Amino acid sequence: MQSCASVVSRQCAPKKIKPRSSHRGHGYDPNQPRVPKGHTGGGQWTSTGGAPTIEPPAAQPPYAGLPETMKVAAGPRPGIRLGPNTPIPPDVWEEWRRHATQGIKGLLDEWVRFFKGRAGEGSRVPKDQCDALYDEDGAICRAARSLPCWEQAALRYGNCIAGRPIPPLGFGGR
Amino acid sequence: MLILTRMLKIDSAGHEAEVPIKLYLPVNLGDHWQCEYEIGWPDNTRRSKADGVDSVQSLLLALKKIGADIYTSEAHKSGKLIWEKRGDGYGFPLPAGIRDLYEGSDRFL
Repeated sequence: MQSCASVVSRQCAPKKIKPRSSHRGHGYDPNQPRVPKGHTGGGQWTSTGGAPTIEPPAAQPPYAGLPETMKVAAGPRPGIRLGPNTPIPPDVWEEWRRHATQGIKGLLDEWVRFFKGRAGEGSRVPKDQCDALYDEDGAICRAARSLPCWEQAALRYGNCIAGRPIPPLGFGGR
Repeated sequence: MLILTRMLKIDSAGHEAEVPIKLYLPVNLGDHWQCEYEIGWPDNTRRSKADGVDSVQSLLLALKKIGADIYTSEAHKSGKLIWEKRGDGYGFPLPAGIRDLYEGSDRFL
């Protein structure tokens, strides 16, 4: 019979599950254990021997078969708790952890750099950074040809070298 | 072209060093005006500029930037920078955000 995957238009019969038995001749093993009375399925054949069973597939992480880099990207899925007890291979887990740590650290560094560049209260900003800020503002003011813009650029420069919060470059058109 | 000067002094243990402040003629750069200035600190000369939509604004803002540079300098904070009288200011205006730094007669600017 053709496999279901290869048959699209025709009806696809499910595979019959044959009972596994160590006594294939008659299919009966008198020594096969049964589920005790009073339990669900009491009296039924249980695991060892010829009871019909469907073996579950081996536990695999949902990203098994993916390239290593994709495994890292696909790493945590809903319902999977990351940690040393998850079925994630240690090397993949370590790589994922390393990338995540780097990403968070990079984000924090950018954040700190941004606020330092904007001279928070009490921080000291090198003068050349304030000159650079003034030059950036100047480019905007030149394009805007706005009197208040230049005024604001000088104000921002003053706040910058004094290590004070820098107001936005708000200005009206001219 | 140099148009304006003011001489400040740094008084350190009886030894005085001059701090010349120089303002140059505003120039028209087409889309704006620019006024250059210098502050001659003993260890280095700071050259910078201010800009505006016309020559007057660029000059006014140059004065304010000079004021900001002076009032935030170590020389000022140490109390050694003097114009006419110690602690009486330098005669330069400040940008609006740091006017609380004014000392002495500068408060009346």
